[in-house]
Amino acid sequence: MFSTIFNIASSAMSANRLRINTIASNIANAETTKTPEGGPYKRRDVVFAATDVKPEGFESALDQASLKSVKVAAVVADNKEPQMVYDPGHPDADKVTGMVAMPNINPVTEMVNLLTASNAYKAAAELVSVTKEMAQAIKNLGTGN
Amino acid sequence: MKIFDQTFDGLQRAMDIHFRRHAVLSSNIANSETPNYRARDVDFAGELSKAFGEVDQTLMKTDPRHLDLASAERDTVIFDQSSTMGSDGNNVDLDVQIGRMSANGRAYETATSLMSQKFKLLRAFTRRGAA
Repeated sequence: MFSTIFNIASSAMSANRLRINTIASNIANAETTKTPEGGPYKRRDVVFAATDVKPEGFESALDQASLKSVKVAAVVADNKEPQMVYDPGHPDADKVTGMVAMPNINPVTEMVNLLTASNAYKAAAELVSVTKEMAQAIKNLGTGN
Repeated sequence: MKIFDQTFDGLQRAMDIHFRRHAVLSSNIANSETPNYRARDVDFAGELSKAFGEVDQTLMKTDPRHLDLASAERDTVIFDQSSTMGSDGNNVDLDVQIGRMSANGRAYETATSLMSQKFKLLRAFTRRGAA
């Protein structure tokens, strides 16, 4: 019963935590020009997917079909063209043109995504606390309170 | 006199509906950022009036094997059409869902505490009998 909902909430919290970590990595590497795979850092994005939950105590198949937790289906690299910046003194600059390929990261985009992810995380935390109160209410049932 | 009267029945159904709605709303909240996820809800008013027997549930049967309307009671998870869909095909409005979840949780606790009161009455009643 309640454990199903706690599972759904924690799936959302863990998915959004991963999203926040990914965004942090994007922001941290906004100026990174060297990567193990070569070339400038490519921004990464998480892809969420709804997944079925295994409900306990829900008899109806319809109920089961309507309950979805969330998972991170993939972390994908954004293959946008790197931003070319003229900086001849840079070690990674093109010897002829003096242009450096910089990661194509827009801090505004990252911050907006960060806020969205953080709100979603807080919402899941709120879900946990409301569910806890409901569980408490049922626990007190019949104790005369 | 019936000890477990209609109110017990109604409260039990109300708690059940509120709990199921809580589960459905929790899915919506978890999937507020999932592409192509459509928000769901429980047809609450219809469910509750059924629970307290306000709807005439008798259908004409031409065959004894026909099901009662009441047996279709769980058929009430609906897609929520009240909010607009974003470009990612997701129509969960997180603020609306949080609001609904809080209100629904409160209603669940109210039903539970009413149930508790009923039990208290029963207890007082049985104690008096023993004395």
